[in-house]
Amino acid sequence: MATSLKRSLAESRENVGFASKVFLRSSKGKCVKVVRELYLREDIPCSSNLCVPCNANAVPGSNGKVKPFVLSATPAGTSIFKNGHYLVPDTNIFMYCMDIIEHKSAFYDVIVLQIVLEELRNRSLPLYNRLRALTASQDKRFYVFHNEFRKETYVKRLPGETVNDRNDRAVRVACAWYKRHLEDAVSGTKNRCPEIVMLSDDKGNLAKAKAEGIACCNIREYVQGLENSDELLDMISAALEDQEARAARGEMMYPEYYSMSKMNTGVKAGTMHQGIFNVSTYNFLEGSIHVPSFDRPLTILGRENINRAVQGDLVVVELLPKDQWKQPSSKILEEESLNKNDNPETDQPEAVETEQERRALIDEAKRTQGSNAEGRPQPTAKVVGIVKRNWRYYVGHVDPSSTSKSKTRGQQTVFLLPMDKRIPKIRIRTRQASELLGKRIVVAIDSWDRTSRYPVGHFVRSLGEVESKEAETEALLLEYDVQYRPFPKAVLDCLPSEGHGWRVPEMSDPRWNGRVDYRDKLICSIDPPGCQDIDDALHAAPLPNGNFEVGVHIADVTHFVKPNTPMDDEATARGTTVYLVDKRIDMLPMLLGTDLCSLKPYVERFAFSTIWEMTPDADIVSVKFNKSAIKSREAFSYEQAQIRIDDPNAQDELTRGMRTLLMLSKKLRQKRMDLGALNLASPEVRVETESETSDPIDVKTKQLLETNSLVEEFMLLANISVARKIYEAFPQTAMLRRHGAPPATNFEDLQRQLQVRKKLSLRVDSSKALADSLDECVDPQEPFFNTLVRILATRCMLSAEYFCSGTQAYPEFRHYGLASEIYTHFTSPIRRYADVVAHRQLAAAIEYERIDVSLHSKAKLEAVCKNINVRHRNAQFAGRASVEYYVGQALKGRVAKEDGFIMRIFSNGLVVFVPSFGIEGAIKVKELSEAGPLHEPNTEYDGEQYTLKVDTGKREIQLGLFEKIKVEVTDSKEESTGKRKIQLKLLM
Amino acid sequence: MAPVANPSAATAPTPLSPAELSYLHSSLSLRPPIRPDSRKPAQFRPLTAELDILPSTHGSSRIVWPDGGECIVGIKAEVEKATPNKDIRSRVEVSVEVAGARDDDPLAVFLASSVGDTLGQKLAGRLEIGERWHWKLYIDILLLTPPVSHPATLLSLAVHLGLRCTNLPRLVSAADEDPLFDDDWDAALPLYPSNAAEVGDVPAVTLLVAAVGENIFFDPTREEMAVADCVLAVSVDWDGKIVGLRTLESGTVSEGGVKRKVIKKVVEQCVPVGKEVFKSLEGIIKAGF
Repeated sequence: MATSLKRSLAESRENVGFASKVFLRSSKGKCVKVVRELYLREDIPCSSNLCVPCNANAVPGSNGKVKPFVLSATPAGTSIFKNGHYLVPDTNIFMYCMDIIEHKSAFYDVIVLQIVLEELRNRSLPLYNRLRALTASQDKRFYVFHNEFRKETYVKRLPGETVNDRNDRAVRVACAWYKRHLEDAVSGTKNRCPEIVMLSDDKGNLAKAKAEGIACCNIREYVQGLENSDELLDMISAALEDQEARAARGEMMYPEYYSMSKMNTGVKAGTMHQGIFNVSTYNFLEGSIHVPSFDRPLTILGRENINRAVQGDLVVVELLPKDQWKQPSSKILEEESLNKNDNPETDQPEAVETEQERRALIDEAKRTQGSNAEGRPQPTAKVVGIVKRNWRYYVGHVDPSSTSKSKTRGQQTVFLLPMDKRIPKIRIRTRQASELLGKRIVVAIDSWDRTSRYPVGHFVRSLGEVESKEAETEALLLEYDVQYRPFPKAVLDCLPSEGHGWRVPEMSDPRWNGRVDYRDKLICSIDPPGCQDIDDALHAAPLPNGNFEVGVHIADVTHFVKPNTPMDDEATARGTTVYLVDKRIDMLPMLLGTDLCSLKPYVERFAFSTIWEMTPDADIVSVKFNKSAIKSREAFSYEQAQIRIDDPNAQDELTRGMRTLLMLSKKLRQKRMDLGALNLASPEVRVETESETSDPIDVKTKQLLETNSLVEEFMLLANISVARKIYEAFPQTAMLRRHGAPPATNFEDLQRQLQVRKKLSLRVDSSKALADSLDECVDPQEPFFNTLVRILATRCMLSAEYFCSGTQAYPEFRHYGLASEIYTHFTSPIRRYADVVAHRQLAAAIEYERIDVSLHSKAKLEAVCKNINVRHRNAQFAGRASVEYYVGQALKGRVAKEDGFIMRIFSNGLVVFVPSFGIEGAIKVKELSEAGPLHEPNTEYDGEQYTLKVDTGKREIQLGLFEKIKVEVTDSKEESTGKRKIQLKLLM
Repeated sequence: MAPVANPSAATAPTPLSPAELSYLHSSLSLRPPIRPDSRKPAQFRPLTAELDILPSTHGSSRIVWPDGGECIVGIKAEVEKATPNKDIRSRVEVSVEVAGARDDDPLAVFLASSVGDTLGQKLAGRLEIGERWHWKLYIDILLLTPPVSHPATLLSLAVHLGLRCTNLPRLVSAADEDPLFDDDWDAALPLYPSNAAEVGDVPAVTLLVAAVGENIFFDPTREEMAVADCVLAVSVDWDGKIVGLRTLESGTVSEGGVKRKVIKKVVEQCVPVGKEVFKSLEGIIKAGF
């Protein structure tokens, strides 16, 4: 049989401008062979301003323009590279040293190789985005060189070569090419040729580079040659520490994680469970995880079972055998008090659980066995692997006891105590320990090895003195991931060019198309005192048929904020305005928020109006929506409005309109209550600040006036009407807000507590039943008791969320708290992005304008909803934390005796709520000792009756849940978090 | 009106007259027979082969006959969850496209089923991944020029070559887990290891044999097939075992029918000729790697 064989095509393709890459993409049990063809070019510029040929031959991009060259002709030098240098870092440098690379004082003229950029994208998207931001801004002179597309620098993978080795080789080849290329470019000119410096921490790679004659050094050597090397060295990630030394350090403390594929199989098969890991705020050794297959969260107890998971990580857990199931902890455990004496410098192996921790756990185990009461032990689980770390920057302060006095200079390892108690201590190495003491600092976690009890991180920057207002505010914003940087120029460019001089145009202007003129209506706004961003205004007028015309006018933000502009993108990202006690972080630039959109009195403004015709019984006859122009007659504060309404002498039309509004709002409210709307309470206080310095002077609980609920009722009504309209127009993509009915299990604890302590029963089968039974939860002796129960009930509920109508079935739209079938947010577009979306959808629904495609896409809307839900929650947390901080500041140095209520009871302490300050705090049994600090009070804890008997050394006291006690409120700086916190002391 | 497409390209009528056919029949019946292209009875026409021509497949090949018949085979593998009690032969799916013919053309259907049958259980057994997963192999065959001679042999050789140069991604996860594979294509493992031939475990090939009188001819041309008493498609394994035998058509010149003795002779002859064919294929594969 005669045969002949043709040579394979691939081999004949050497040295043509063409190459192909073949690799396999394997995930979720699929495996795809991917073939990428590369067309190699010779005209990709080096982008150095030194290079004349590249400058001359640069090919214009698709827009016909040549990109300006990035790298400086006279780059900075260091002590080693006197002629100046361009840096070529490898992927690991970007992975672990991004903080230092972003630093202003160094790292200019950097060549980012395409291969490095791609590898970084695969390994960490956030870091990739940060690097992208660096390359996009001109000031650091970062240039992305597409080495994979340039013929001379394209590297073929050798047989048997790993991808990493191949990439390292590609970096070296690119360095060598740059060097040759620039030498050619400067030969014959007077310019000095800068050195191409490869930065890497891979010893093998460095050795090879040296052998090939490429200038190179590791990051430490390089940084040492820079000016402020102490600060910069601290910012290098601990993950780059000598790997071998760490591995040699001995014993593995934590179990190894399962492989990804094993976890995937387990999760799919239902033997393992995946969810977000949450740490209890009361007990740092107790975590919980909500998984779809169980109604209640699984408990994860002890360091070993938590297995290096950090608050917020996406983890996979496995159930523990039944004999290891436990009741949730009845103890308050704080890391600080237990592990005070840990040594941050760890050269000797450590035990995972310290002696004290173990003792605390054993105590607890005894208790669970002793009292097998209050129901069954809960299933517990252990973490077997981490799907995704959710590490961010953490703010905290250095534990003073962990710094060593003897080593004031030089490097030492210290503990950072994060502000968030759920985050473990972080071990950082620093050369500036003495300067960092007493400062708020930002750190990043780099790694958590099996050998180390605590995670290892690195210093990022210092915010300033602990307790200084600036540092604390910034710390708070960082902790809650609030975007607080000033608006970038691109956003400000979207503002109207007239600036503050913008006026409602003449009627002939095209901007009037489709707009109605309501400037003659007697409209006013009612807001909290000092409000600048006035979203809403109202009016009411009698109609000839005896009905009323009621109008709610909302700032027409979408007239100024058009979709797909930088301003819109920024607002989407921010999601909401964040209100702190002394500061407001705006969602939209000031010019819009407090002037052009704000419905200020006496000036004409564009608005989006909802006008109802209502019967005197507050039944709606008709509703219409219009873009309009209005002129607010007056801006009242709640108090002013109340006074004006109550003043019998005020008989002008505006006041009469307000009285009508008040009358109707009361009827609306009654209707809502009849339907089962909940009247929930959350502790709200107001911090009075001095007007000049905004230093806090006093704390007051917020007063609720009738006018508060007047505004609230009409806003609710407007929101509901708009929700109906946009859902009708866009059944799949309407932006709505829902509040899920809480599962009955959420209330179990509270129901039992009320039953045992007060013989009250709480019915939770519907919101109506809950509302009614909450009304019955009264203690005639104690008017505040009802509020306390409401606060506790609120905590059992789910949080309301934005969603896109296509993702839920209609019955799921329900807003549980408001007892409304459908709901959205429409009335505050200046401060909430959801309202902006609702405005655009409503404008399209009334055919005022055409809808932007992005509001037609379910996927895009879902992404928007997800983001604003998170932002919304964070904004609330940040606001609360700010109040908490200011309450602490206001009480500084004062001692107040106040009433408190026991809202939770543990075997070793209690949580007390102080209504007058709206704060809650823990009192530990240890602090109840009256026989000196060494006396450990004897306690008798009854988990069934929710009582705790304490022998203080002098007498015996009995404490029970919901009881009213006298407490002394002082302030103290909490050692563990460095926050000024309220200290409560039981007065006996 | 355009002529109706011939349902089976293999039986395309020859342009020979009855007298010419009769002459051909006689010369093939001689002892020793004389073939029109002066080949020996067991001699194949020369062929040109190429391996690994399609980069995005897991394995591919191309064979060209001198008469213009050309066949391209591409093989792709996909991970599939194992379903118990399912015929493991369903793990291999063969599709044949004959250029210019409809996809339900009887020839295409026949060829696809015959390739599937020939490969059978033995290939399917190679496709295990752990206990709960297996590979599913898609063998796509394209006959580029309408064949002037029957394409069964051409096709079978091309499939053989394609399978021999097929690589499957290397498994990195444990057997009982959801499969996860090495991302390096160069690390992929061959479906048939390089020593497969020595062990004797390679895919079977199908040979066409025509019988005229007592004489038998391998790799018959269209003219030879037209005068043959019968044409058999014999599938031979490496070790000479006959794994399949199909009758394709009987001749048009003589009265038809074939003696048992002739069939026996065909089977006997297939063993050494099969060995020879496997040897040549091995040569191609060695040269290709």
